[in-house]
Amino acid sequence: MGDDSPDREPSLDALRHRLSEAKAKQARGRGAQKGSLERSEGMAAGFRVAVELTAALVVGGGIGYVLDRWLGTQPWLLIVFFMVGAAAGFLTIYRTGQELDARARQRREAEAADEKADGDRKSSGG
Amino acid sequence: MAASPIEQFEVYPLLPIQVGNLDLSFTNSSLWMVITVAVSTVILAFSARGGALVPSRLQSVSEMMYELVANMVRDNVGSGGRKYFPFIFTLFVFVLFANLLGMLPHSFTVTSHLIVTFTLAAVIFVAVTIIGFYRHGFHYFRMFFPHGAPLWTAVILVPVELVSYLSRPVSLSVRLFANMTVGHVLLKVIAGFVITLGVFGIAPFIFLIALNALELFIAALQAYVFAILTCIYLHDALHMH
Repeated sequence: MGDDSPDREPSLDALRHRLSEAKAKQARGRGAQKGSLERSEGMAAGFRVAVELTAALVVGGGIGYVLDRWLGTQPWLLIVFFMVGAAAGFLTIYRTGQELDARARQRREAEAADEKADGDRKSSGG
Repeated sequence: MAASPIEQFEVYPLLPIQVGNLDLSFTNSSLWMVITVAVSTVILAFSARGGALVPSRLQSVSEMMYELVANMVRDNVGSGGRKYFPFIFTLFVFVLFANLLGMLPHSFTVTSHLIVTFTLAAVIFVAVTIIGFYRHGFHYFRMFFPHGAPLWTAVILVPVELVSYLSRPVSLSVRLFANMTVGHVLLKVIAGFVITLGVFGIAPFIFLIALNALELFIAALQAYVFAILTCIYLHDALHMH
């Protein structure tokens, strides 16, 4: 323990240096990872929108078909409900878009706050 | 002869059970559902047993899952969502483990069958609708008509909103099913190339490794999407638009 104290200051400095180096390396790695993650998330969002549009069309068309069979009004209700399904699909997509936008904005703000906090720590910590 | 890429989705009875006209056989699909429940229960129970302040790797896995779902419920369901946390967490863990166990060679992916995912989605849909009517009573029908729109537009808007509402369980189940099925078919097809191309099979083999990593990511992501959409539907039922 006793022979630790002379080189205590330099070792603390070295530690700080190593810490900042490790942090920079981690940030670089995170940047590269984030790129591919964002691509996959974009793919998932695109897939989600495609499925939502198709599902609304299928449900609308299905309702029209069943009602037609039931009421014997082929093919009119199928046509009407197919259009209703298309409208419902676009409505769903619009809402999904709004929701994804809100989430992206939230994340951007959180990241900006994070970076700001990091910068503050660096400038005050020295 | 290369195996058919859709052979992996075959359901066959392991223990035939016939009740009247109903075929209630215990199939390989049932077996993998039991395995999914057993594995997730064992992992969660085992990792939580220690309850150490500095978590072991296994413990931090379950703590991360818990925090992920807890944040998801807090951010997306809002007030009054806390009591639905056990349901959402169970749902997330079941789908996640079903997807991940499906990545094991010679395993069976439960979530690659539309009827399984549709049953999950239908339960969610019915539950959310009941919760909505329970909380808001007759007022819940306002879901299908935007506030402040002129009354005559109801002729168009109500069917559109109704179809949009009814399409939720379809899109929720098709998304999970399609992602899992497409991924597994693709893996099998590329794996077929590895054999037939001989020495040049090294190229698809490398691609296959990358594809496996992507599939693992999709397995986790789709479980997340499934749970988060349940949260959003629950939010609509509790607070309306």
